[in-house]
Amino acid sequence: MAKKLGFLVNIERCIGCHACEISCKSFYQLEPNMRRRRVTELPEELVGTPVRAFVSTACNHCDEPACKKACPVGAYTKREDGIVVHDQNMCIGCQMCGKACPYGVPQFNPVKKKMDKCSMCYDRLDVGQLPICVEKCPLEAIQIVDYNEVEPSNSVSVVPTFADPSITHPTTHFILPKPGKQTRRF
Amino acid sequence: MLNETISRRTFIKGSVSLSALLGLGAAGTQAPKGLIPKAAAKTNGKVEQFYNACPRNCYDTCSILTTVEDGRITFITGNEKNTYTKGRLCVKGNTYPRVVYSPDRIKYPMRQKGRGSGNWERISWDEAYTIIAKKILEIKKEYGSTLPICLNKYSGNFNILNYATEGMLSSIGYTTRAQGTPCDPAGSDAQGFDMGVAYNNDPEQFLDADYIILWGANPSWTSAHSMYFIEEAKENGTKLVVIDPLITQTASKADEYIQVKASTDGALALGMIRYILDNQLYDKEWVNQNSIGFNEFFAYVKKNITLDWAAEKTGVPKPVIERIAREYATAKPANIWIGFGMQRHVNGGAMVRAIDALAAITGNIGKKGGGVNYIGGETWGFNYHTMSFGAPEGSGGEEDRFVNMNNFGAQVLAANEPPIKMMWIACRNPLAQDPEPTVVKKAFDQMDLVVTADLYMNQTVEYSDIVLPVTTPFESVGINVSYWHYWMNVNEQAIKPLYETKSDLEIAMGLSKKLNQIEPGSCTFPVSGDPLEWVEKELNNDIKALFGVKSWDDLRKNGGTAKANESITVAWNDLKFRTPSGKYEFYSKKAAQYGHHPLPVFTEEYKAPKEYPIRCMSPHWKFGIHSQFQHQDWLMAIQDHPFIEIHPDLAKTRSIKDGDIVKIINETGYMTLPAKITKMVPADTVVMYEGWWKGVNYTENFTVKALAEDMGEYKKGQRGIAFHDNFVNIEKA
Amino acid sequence: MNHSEIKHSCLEERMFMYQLFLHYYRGDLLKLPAAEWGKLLEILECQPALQSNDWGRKAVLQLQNMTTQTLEPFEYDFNRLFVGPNKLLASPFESSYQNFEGTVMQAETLKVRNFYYYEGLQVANEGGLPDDHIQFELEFILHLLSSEKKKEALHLFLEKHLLKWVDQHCARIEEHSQSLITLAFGYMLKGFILLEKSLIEGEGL
Ligand code: SF4
Ligand code: SF4
Ligand code: SF4
Repeated sequence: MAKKLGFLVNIERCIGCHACEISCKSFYQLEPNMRRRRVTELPEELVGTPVRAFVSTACNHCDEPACKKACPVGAYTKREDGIVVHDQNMCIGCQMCGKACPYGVPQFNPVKKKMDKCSMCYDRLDVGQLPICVEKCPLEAIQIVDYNEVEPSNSVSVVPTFADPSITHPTTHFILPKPGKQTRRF
Repeated sequence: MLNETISRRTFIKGSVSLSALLGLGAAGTQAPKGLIPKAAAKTNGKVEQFYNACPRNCYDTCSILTTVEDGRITFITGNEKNTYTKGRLCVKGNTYPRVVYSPDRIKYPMRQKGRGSGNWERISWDEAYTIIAKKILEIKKEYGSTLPICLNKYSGNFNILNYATEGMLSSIGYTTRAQGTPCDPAGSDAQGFDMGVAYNNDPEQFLDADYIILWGANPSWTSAHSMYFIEEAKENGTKLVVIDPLITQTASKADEYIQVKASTDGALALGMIRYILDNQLYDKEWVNQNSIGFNEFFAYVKKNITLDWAAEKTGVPKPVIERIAREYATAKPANIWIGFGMQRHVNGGAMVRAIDALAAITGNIGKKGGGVNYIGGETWGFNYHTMSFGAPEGSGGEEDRFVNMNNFGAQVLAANEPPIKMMWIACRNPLAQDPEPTVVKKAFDQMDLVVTADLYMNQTVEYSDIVLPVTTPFESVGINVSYWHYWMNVNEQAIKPLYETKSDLEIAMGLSKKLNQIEPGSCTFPVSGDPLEWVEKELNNDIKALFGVKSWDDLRKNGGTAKANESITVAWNDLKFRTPSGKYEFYSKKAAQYGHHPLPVFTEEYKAPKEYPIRCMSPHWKFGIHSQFQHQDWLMAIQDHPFIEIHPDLAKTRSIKDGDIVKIINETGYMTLPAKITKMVPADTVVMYEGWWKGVNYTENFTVKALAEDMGEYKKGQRGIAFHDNFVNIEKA
Repeated sequence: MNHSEIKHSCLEERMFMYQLFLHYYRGDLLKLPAAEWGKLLEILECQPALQSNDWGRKAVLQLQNMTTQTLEPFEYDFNRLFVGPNKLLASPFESSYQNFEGTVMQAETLKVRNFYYYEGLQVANEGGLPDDHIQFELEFILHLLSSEKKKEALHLFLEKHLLKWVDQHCARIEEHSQSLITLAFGYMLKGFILLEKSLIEGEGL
């Protein structure tokens, strides 16, 4: 059976440090504003007690990728294993995909005049290596999971700030933090 | 008109005339050539890897793997052979390629015509050395010694070879030195009085802990690699307790978070101790065998400390203190990590002594996975060969003179007989990072010459006469160890130094050469030498044995990183303390000698003045270490401006809304910046993170007074600064 | 004047201009004594390449207004724009214009290096100074100009490199320059690059 690869992001472990985002940028030598992965602050009272919480997201390699549907030149393909690949050579920079994606993932690179997005480092995966962000997270908070094999019981498919999953069926899942005990003065 | 002042000469046409005019010969003929025939052996597509060491003043001091393609760095990441770095870097380390290739780097030696004017002329290294050397010799002649020359260098680069700067200045004679540290002094004295010296367990041992208290430490931001071990421990069932006035990123990860009133942590520890004593939960055997003065200490606690008092003082309810005390005392082993921030108060040293006592009475000291962990220096046994040359014969003065780094401006101004006339600044940005920057600036104004060696233009460079461009770690060799983990990391030269940059070691040799040319014998520092030979000279037999390495080169060839022998990774495992008595000293005569109470007693916190009722804390920021990293474009793309965190209740009293511009003010200074309304800070405190922001003309230190901590003289020569006892008022701007 | 003569003089003019800019960016003009500036101006006044367009004329006009006072800030301004120690206001490195922040030694730099290699050349201090400093690009162009056989390579290099970024470079100079001289040289370069562009287009290569 074909794989169905997706990111599993452990918000319980994530410290919001952005190392995933910057290591990706470093590896691919991206422009400062090109964020294939981005770390976003979550509402303080996400789990009840006020805490600093972040979520790290990239392309969600959706089951029904809106980007792919919107691209007029067929620059997008969905691989057998679920990875949504954008071919920059074919890209004409029309930005239709960016507008279609509910997560605003594809970004326009004004220097290259092309769109840019996370590839799940498929060329690394193909040779048995992990994606850079997965390998470089100091907290090991990001995993690649084959959702056809693993039915993540403790995970959810949506967090605040994340668009309605019923539109494109993203593969990304999240593990929510467990609320800790707090003794606060205020 | 210029034309009138010159003789009009017969016109010669074209390139020939141009070249004749410039006296250079046609470009491409006699002129020095930028392009030359390509060396036959050159090919492209060559990929190499090098080991580097992150030398910033950071707990994690990572072992780095650098990929170089065709002489250009293409990726910088962690070295997998180091089990602490684990093949990955913190967010800051991931920006290193930008550090090297930043358009902001200082490229050439330059001289400013008029301090602060921004009128710079490019000079050669030889000219720079000549100007500096002449000034040094002139001062020496005029004042009879080199004491008017002052060095202010600290932690921007902790590569052992960078001590060449100190060494070079010692080699010209006795000088004035900025002494002390803004970092850890009070806590280090406290641990010095209790145990002889500060000495921490290997942080990889968080995995062996049954219970962890992070006390005023925020490793999520300041030591991401430690946080990995803590999260792993948590997953294995270890309880994580965070005690902090702020809900830090680390507090957000705690199983239990306790919000303590700032600067009352000592009262909390003493309250816990009272409970532990009352309930016979302490380790009698440990105390009997390994300590002195516990009877006096117990008597003090019984007489002066109650749980009600502790609860009142700290804002932590009594049942919570009791529960935490019981949990801590019964967990085996229990690990405490005291953060540097916790002791940046006027009673910081005393508070650390109280927490040490808590660990001691429960027998947690000397145990794997336990300990009262603050800082350590067991692996720093290098030769410091660069500092070994001594003053030249006939130099005036008898010894170096010290000014307190933490009150630098005022003490430089006050220095007399002889006054300070020249300043050398390296690995520091005092005009941004010191308290009372306006006073520091006044001190600069008094100088005949200010020389700054740096990577980037910053406030201090802007106000210097000569700037010397320095190399990044990737352009020079070196060796590093950490004050936290137990690894030694080599630093190879991965690429050619860009532009005309030089390492501090090369600068030291170059200046010595010039000094000796002008006045033979005026500087004892070697005038030449291969940095590879210099670095080998740092390793002695002890350190080689400790790390099991034959040489620097051997380590370079074998993974670039080595861990110290296990025997030293558990602090005080042999229970032989380095105090005068050889025991753990609850009662410390040494402390009394330095004017403190001999026992770990509670000393009162600094009280807010009436006009300035709000505490303003300035802890470390996740995208920077002091003035480094935050200004890189990749990080600016995430956050490009400082802000101040304000609790909604406090904001309400002044009608401040999220994003409003707020003015923070006290008698020292003021600044205006945007507000972030958040419950992460208490309502009596605001927080502004420490750092240097590009394009921002103020720093958090604008309101910080040079208020001294209680301790620091014993181990560091000078007291530290109570950075967090800074009180302000805020209003909507 | 016969056809070949026109071509010849045109080539000579071009070489002169490239040499002028090479000297300028190498910093050779910084220490030029006041008296010598007048001579330089005379030479410039007679350059057809400068007189043939607005920017060139504007530049010469500027320089004609020069006084000894204008000379003093020249060096400081030159350094602010191209040398440091501050962030360069008009970076002389090609790769600075291919990314937002002006980062040096990027992929473009290596492309320039490969071009030099192809012609059997390299930067003397390779790795020490990024290969795409305008000074090296100008020197390389002079090398290519010296032989009719290298015409194709010359056009390719101009199109792929210098002409691609120098407009932006000139725009930064115009924006940030505080000295009459740096501004004049900015205009001169801008005007000359226009000529080069039309020349290449005219030759249809
Ligand atoms: S690197 Fe890991 S811990 Fe840091 S923000 Fe990314 S996912 Fe979170
Ligand atoms: S999977 Fe690869 S491309 Fe995607 S965010 Fe992670 S590192 Fe970047
Ligand atoms: S700053 Fe600290 S954690 Fe980050 S790379 Fe350097 S040593 Fe490692």
